[in-house]
Amino acid sequence: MVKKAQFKIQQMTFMIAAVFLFFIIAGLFVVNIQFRNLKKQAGLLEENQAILLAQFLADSPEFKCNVGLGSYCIDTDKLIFLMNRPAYKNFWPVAYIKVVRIYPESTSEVFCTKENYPDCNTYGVYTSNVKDTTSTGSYVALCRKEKIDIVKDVCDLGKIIIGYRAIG
Amino acid sequence: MNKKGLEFSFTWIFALIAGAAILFFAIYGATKVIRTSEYEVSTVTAKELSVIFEPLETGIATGKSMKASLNQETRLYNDCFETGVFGEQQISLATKRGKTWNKPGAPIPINNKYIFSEDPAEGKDITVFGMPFEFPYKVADIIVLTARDYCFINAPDQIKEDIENLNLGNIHFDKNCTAQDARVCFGGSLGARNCNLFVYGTCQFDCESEYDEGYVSTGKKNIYFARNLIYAAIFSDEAVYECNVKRLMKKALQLALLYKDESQFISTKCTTVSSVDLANFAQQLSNANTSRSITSLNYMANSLDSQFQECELW
Repeated sequence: MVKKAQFKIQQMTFMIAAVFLFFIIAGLFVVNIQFRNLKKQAGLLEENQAILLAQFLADSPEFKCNVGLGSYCIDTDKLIFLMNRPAYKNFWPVAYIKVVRIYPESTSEVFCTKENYPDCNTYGVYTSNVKDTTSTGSYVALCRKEKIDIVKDVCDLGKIIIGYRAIG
Repeated sequence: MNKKGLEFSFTWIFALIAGAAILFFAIYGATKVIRTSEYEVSTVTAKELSVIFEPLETGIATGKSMKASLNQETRLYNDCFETGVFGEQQISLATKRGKTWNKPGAPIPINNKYIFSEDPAEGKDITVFGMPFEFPYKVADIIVLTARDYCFINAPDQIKEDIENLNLGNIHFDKNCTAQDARVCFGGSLGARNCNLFVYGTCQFDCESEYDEGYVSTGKKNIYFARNLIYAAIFSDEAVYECNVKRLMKKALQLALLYKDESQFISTKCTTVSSVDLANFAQQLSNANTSRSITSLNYMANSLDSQFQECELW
């Protein structure tokens, strides 16, 4: 009789353990699906932020031309001093910011420095340590002051490229 | 007979204990899942809210506004920190379950925006508007979040015009106010009774309006403003305002240093704002501790702006 009771207890214990295990596995499955959705949502939000930032960053005071030149215009005379400025490290919530001259076209990529400016076409404004990145961009005017008898604004066509972390 | 009775009772006791344990873990698990998903929803919504701040960048516009309608009554917590080069803000949201408020979701850090609001701001519909803060160059866009209705009494024409242009439905003027509105009274004006806030303009020289500079008083403490900061001072919690003003001064300082470098560079081609004056302005900005210093800084900003610029920096 005692043996039968012991057997029943054992049987029930195994049953309970099996039920618990089932719920744990089912729970882990649900958590995994939720986590995957959350990761996807985080990636989407990061992408949306980068797209919006690409559209509006040119109008932020660090980039924009003087009021007279209007919107979507980057002052490269200012940009050359903004590049890799330590104070701006981690200021923008993106992986990198690059400004590229598109027209007049150039055959090779020449990174801008204070020494070769304005005879260059790529401004590496900010780079983080993020490795897997993807990017979005927006077209802008790149203007600078030139003195040819009189001082005037000389503008090229460019693109501001925002890199963001690739998720998923 | 007795033995059978004992066996039956043992099985039942065992089953009851095991059943209770399973039920307890199931309820505990379900509660945890619900709380986690509420926390997740609050965190995602806070992040979504931080993303929609991007289009409020005004560019050459004088202001932009939008309305965020949330699914349920929500509390928005706005924590501001002055540490670091630019300081930081963290926004988090909490939803309501029954009559009690849930724990807020994970805070979303933002360091390139300046968000002014009550702390916490509470409501289902949140009105957000952005306005440029120029000092004298554009420093940033002031983003103001409001979740309640306001009544402006004896507001100057410029403010009425700005608010009407922004098409803000939650700000009413004089006779259109309701009893539930928070009352904001301008000056020591007639009819200024039962006011939650008083706004005083103190600008006397070189001003477009007396409200170019001034202070907002709750009756206990004054907070000082210049230019478009008047809107931030009216709609914001005092601690959030003071912290954000400091952050704005830090940003203005970095921009002064940037413009100083640009001024030195282009001064070989044309006359522009003096780099020495920009360096002095940066020095004064670094000493700004409270909103009280904004009046003297505004005087310096005005004098920088009035300098002759053959090549305009801003």
